[in-house]
Amino acid sequence: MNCEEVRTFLPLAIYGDLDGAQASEVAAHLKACPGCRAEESSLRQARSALDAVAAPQVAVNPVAIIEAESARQVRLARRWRRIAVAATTLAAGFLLVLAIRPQVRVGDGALVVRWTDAPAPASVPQPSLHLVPPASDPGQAERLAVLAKLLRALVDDADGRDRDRQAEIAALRARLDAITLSSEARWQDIQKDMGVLYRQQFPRKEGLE
Amino acid sequence: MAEDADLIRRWQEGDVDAFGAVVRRWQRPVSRFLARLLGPEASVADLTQEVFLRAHRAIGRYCDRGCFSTWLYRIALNLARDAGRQARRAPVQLPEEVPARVSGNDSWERRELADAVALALADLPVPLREVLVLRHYEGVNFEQMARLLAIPASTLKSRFAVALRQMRDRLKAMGFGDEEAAT
Repeated sequence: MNCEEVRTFLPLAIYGDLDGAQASEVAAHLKACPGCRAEESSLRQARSALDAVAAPQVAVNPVAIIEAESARQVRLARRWRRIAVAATTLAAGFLLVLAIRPQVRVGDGALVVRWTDAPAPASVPQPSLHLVPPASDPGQAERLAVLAKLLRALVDDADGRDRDRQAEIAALRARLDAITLSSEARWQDIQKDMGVLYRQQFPRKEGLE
Repeated sequence: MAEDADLIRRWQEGDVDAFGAVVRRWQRPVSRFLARLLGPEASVADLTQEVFLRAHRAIGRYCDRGCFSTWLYRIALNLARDAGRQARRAPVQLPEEVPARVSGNDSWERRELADAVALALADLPVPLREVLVLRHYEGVNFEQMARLLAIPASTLKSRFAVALRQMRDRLKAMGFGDEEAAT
């Protein structure tokens, strides 16, 4: 080993961290090299100087640690409970939204929230320009002729019945006229008879009047 | 290790006494590790408490493969890195008091040296400081360190050599040469 190699190993040699062969080589070099011995001496003095620093006395309080940890566990449990409640609420809200599918519409100065399907717009009947030609029916004329005959028969029957009623009415009027004439003639006869009888009972005195 | 494993198993089952025993066993190494990583200005007591709080939260996920110390140091290391990032964003203040363990029995020179070492250590780049603290103060070997930091051992050895040389150079630059450091 040369001086450079030895000086590389010196800090480890001072702390006993070299293996046997390296330690022997370094020791052999130091015996023969005053410069490396001086380097080793200064490093040993630095090592002993490190011991001048003392550490403060510290007393850890394990009870305070356990209490602090217990308090933290309680806080964590509360936080998880809040998170669980919030997550459940969110999930329920999400499911509700999925279930009712609300529709929100803003416009015309109004906010409309709808959770059912919008009614379909009323269908406006459109004028049809498609003209369907009447279907040709060969039995229709025959049916119309029968219907016309039936109507004529009904009219004839009504006319006949009307004529019969008019005749009956005329006969009744004739009988009523005959009765009236007979009654008037009989009344005149009665008046004549009554005048005769009155004059017979109560003869007229010409001088008194 | 077997005692650790038993304590950890009971701790995982909810035994508060076992947790207390683990805390008593590991609070000094963890606080020492944090103090040396973060320097004298760091609120080591609060950070150590936080390390054991995080360990308590995570103990259910810990699988005992005989490396509890590595697991605990990883928690402390992550916390120290977070604290270090926050401290770098804060205005830098020089320490006004000597470290707590340096009592009146120590010489004035010793206290000065302690301050200088603390400053030099805090001035090291974080990757070098982590390796130096783990190797020198915590006695972690490079294989364990490789598992803890997820960095190859050969890389860590190189970093360690650089870190020790930089510490020596910084102490010399602050006036603590060979004579002062040797005291």
